[in-house]
Amino acid sequence: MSAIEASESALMRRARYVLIAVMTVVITFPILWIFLSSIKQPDALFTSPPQVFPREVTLEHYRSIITDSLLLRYLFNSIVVASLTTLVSLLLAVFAGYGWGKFDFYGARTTSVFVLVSQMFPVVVLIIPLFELLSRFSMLNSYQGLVFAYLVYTVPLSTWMLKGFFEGIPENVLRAARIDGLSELRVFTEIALPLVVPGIAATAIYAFIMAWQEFFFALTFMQEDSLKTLPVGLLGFVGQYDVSWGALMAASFVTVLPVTALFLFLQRYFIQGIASGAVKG
Amino acid sequence: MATSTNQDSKSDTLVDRLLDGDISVGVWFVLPTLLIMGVILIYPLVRTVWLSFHVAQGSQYVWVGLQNYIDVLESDWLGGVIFNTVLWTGLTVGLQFAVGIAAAMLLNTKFRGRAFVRGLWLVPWVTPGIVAALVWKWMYHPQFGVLNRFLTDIGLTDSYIAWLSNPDLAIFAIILAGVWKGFPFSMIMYLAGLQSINQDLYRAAHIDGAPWYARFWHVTLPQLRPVLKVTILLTTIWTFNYFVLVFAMTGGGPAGSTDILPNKVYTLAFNEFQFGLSSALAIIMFLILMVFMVFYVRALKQQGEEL
Repeated sequence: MSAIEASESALMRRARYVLIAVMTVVITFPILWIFLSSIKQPDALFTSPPQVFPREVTLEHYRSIITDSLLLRYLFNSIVVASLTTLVSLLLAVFAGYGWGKFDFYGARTTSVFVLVSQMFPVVVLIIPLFELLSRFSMLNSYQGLVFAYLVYTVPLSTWMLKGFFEGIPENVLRAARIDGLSELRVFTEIALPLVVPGIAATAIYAFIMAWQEFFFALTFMQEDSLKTLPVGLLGFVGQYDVSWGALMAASFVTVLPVTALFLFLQRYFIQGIASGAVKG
Repeated sequence: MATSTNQDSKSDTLVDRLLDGDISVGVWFVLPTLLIMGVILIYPLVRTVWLSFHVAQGSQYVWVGLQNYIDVLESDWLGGVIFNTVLWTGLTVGLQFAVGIAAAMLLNTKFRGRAFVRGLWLVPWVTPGIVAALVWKWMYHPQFGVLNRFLTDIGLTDSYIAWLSNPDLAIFAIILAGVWKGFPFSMIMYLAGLQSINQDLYRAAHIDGAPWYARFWHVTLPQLRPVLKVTILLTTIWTFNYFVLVFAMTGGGPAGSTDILPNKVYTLAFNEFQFGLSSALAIIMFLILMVFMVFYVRALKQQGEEL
């Protein structure tokens, strides 16, 4: 590294810093634009040419989405659905990740590859039958139904992420516990599980973000207005002929903020997990 | 892939393996997940295949053989939809690769606040797709859109452009949004790959007097090959399936110029209620994807051997 860096001229270094700054501005601009649009006076949104920074700041759009729409209800639904999805996915993935990561059994390789590949199934192949299935069991317009469907998204990669973490536990540690006479279940809960807590954190963030941003299942399976999640609720501000851009941007900001904040605080865990889940064979 | 499994047992017979205590324990741990995946993946897949051979009449489904497939293949929209799908997938994946690797190389250099910058560059990836679609639509607005303002400010265009209602431009506008939304995943994968390259290779190349582009071509790219393969396959599959941008930005219009396969499958089913036709198209789409999945599993296996 040092050899390379020494060879970098002052000009090159300055160019690199400028490039990094420019990219940061371009990449974050759409999010900044959501925020700026959400605090502009209604008439300031519709000037041509558009003003970049608001001359006057208003919270009018936030007031209107809270009082004139079901936004808080959507927010509540999103929190419930994403939390439940995270919980159930983790419960399944923790067991399955351990099973595939630490045991050999007939068909282990085939079934684990099947689960990995399943995350690539097109949503649209599954959506009609899942709609039928949920409607047969009266689970359309219910939290359980949507959470159940979300497992399609979250369980495969969660399992693979945790499988990678379990594989990192030295075999001797588990063997020693077995020799001490611990039952398989206790080896799992008392020895293995505490060792993969960072993996569990990564998986939880992943599952939460997936459930939080999902759109098509929520659109199709939750048709009652009071049960919509935030992503689908946003469409309520998009009319057939005109869009309430101010309110829409305020509601969008409410949708983006929680996951972005969560992510920025916990990105270290998350990055580790994603890279290991997608690359490790 | 260090696991507990002792590799000799691979050659044992099924009976030997079943008698081994380990076997049943592992199965119990994975069983709940396998059962759930069976219900939410295998059943729907089988059901979609079944639906693709039927047509709804009232509340009954009537067997029509291959008629739905024939209708899809003879439709006047199929060619256009496939063209758009290939353009959308190819260009988005290509640009995500280019931007992703450039961003990863920048993040792999030393500068102050690097972790924070990396976090900011990842934000598009955690932004919900529908939010991305709506804010880009707002930025592309023909009269009040900020993009038009910037472009005229710097003199690139002299009049405001209706990005999403121009059939020649709309798909490229959506691709740009797709690159923004998806590049961080490639970036993180390449960054992990870059960080695992042995620095001695660069030192050797440097001593040999190789300029930066030669180092990139002869050291970086070959060393990244396994990661590149997996990442490109994975982003190809995801992009091919990803249609929330099209759905919310143009709905496939204007004049079908942005309609892609998954969007067509969805709208055939839930706007036109042609479940049989939609299922036939979904199965065709699934078969195309299978090819990529096979390559992906193979690439993973190879990498497992190399690591």
